[in-house]
Amino acid sequence: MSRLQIRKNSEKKKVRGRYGLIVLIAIMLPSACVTNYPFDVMDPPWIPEDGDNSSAVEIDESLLPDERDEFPVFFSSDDRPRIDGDFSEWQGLDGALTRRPVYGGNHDPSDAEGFFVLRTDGVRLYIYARVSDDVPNANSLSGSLAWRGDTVEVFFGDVTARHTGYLEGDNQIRLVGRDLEGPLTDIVVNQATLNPTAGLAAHTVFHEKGYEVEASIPLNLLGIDGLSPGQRVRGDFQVNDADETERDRLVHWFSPEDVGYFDPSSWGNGRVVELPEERKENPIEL
Amino acid sequence: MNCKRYVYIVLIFLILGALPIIAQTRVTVERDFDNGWQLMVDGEPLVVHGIVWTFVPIGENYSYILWNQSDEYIRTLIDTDAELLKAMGVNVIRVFSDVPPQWVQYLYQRHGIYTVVNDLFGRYGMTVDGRWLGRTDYSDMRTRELILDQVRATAERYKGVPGVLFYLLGNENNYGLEWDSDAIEDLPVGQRLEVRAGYLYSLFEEGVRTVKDVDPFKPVGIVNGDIQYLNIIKELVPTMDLIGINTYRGERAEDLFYSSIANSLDIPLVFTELGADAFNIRTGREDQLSQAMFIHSQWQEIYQQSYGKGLSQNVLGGFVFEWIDEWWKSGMVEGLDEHDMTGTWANGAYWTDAVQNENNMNEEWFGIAYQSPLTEDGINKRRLRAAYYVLQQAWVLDQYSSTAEEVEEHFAGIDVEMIALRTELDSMATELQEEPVVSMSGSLNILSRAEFDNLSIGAGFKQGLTISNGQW
Repeated sequence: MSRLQIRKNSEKKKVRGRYGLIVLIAIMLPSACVTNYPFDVMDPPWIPEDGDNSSAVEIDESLLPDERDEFPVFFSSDDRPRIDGDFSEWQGLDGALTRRPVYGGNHDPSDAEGFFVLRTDGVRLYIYARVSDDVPNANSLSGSLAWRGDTVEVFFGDVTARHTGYLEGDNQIRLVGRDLEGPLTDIVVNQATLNPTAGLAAHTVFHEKGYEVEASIPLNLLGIDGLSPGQRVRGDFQVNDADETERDRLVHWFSPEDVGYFDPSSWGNGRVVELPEERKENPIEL
Repeated sequence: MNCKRYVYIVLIFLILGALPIIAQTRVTVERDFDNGWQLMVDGEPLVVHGIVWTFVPIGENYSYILWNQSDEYIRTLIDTDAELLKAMGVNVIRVFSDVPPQWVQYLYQRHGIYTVVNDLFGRYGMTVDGRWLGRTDYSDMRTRELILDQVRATAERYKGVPGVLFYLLGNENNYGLEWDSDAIEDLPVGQRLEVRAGYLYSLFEEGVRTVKDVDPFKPVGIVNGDIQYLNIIKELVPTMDLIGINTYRGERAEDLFYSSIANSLDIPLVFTELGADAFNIRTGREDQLSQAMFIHSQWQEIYQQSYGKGLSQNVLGGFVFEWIDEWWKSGMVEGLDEHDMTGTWANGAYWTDAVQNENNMNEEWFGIAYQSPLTEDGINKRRLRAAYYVLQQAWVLDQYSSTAEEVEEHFAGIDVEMIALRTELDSMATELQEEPVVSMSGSLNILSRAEFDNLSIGAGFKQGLTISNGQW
């Protein structure tokens, strides 16, 4: 290419540049006349109020779990909890505390705060939840609709790669207390109420200010081959609270959004660890 | 003398001027303290035995506009469907697009079927000053103004049109509270949804008032997604006359559902969507029995909870979702000629085909009538499913005046299994007529069913015949 050609090309580029600038201004001018958004926003007509006797508090988000935190799944092949309404086997174990309000106003330690502990023997998943509730109710809704009433849910899976839809091994486990006076509890996994089978059991005890529930679920019913110490898992914990009508409060351990039932990428991290020999104090007294 | 003449003339003008008002059908919701709520049309009770009327033909999708077709085609389609609907007992339809007033009037005067006018209230996005916004921001003043303008225009368009039963605003808009703004982001997470809902419901109240301002002779309500935000609705939408609820709770909504509404809102409810799909993902085939069974149970509960039965007594009826299958629902813009068998969402309350980790609700199979690829007068043939006949039998009983005992007896007397068996056999016979060569597996299935029940079956269908090369 000769110098002349180079200069001509350079001049062409300059001309093109000028045209480009004119075209750009021509485009920008009308758009500057179009209403800009965000909009003229009115004051909120509704601000949720915490009840007169509420102990609700605006939670410090920096204290809530993030990606670095892991909930434990305690492993022991010889020390297994019995599902009998005696919750002493769960005493002093670490777990996940649901303090992230998703729906229904600020976090209230006396209403819908749940403490969850998971254990495994490599064959079954054991779940314990202790939930504060100012108006505990037995739940009469069918399993897949029972989230509308008082229930706890554990999202649990062994697929740790990021994915946004349920895969084999991802589970939404719902424990549904059916009777204020008795232990009757349904176990609902991925919207289906499980039929009685070996290794499957659950027991709920209602108290004046909350309830406790424990459950045992064979891992093969969860699409999980096995769990062993050191293994990473994923999960979240949810409390559905219904006082007067249907669910009026939803609280999570990890996710700020109500999407865990279809999007496992919203869950947090967990890890299978050896069952400790020494136990701690429990964080919630009912 | 002259004075008298003037008086007469003035009187005549006054009477003539008042005629349109006098001639207006007055629809109200009325509560009898002991027996509960009824819908009244010119002082006479009317239950809502409704259907969500769908008409999108095979090969078309959501963008199909029936009202752009020729008048002859529209009339033929309305006559085809309305005859079937009327025979079933349907007295009112709900439609997701505006039915032009002339056709609302036609439906009513020709077929005696009312229409509910349903403004969608920005549910699926809207254009604001030339810009399309997919997520309607109900906190924006300009958006609110435009929505109310639209609502006013709708009410003015339908005011005085014979056949309008009542007005509804929205379609489960509470499921679409997704806009983000600095104001929302500044709130604690647990409050964001409710604050957004507050914007929506306060606008609903303005919308209700707007409609009443234009047409004070008809009730006005909203369409809510289930019973979410009842506490906010109670505070922010005090002037609506009834609440429409879309819900899919399987066989029953349960007492708590009805009592929650009764305890929160001093108005009646109408199910604006309820029903079941007619496809079983376990068997991989059409399942008329399950659909009919769920719908039978849903309506038994509606009767039990309605006027004079001693329970919540606050339900006026409902709209079964939906008339014909919509073949576009799964792919939206592709596979419009295929009746998709893929489950699109999961709901364990529909237990007959609930399977762990699988979607069991088939969005393309909610019709109580199947539409055949074969056409007559340019319209896909309707093949009525068992649910159609179950509703036909169920709705014979007067929902308001019957007793709780009569309801029990009436619904127990509807043999859902028998109806389903008969219609499934009829369907197969029709398929055979339409497509003479059938697979051996289908034919064997027919025989086993026939031997099982030894029924007298319709549509020229015979029992005990052998199969030869796919022909009877």
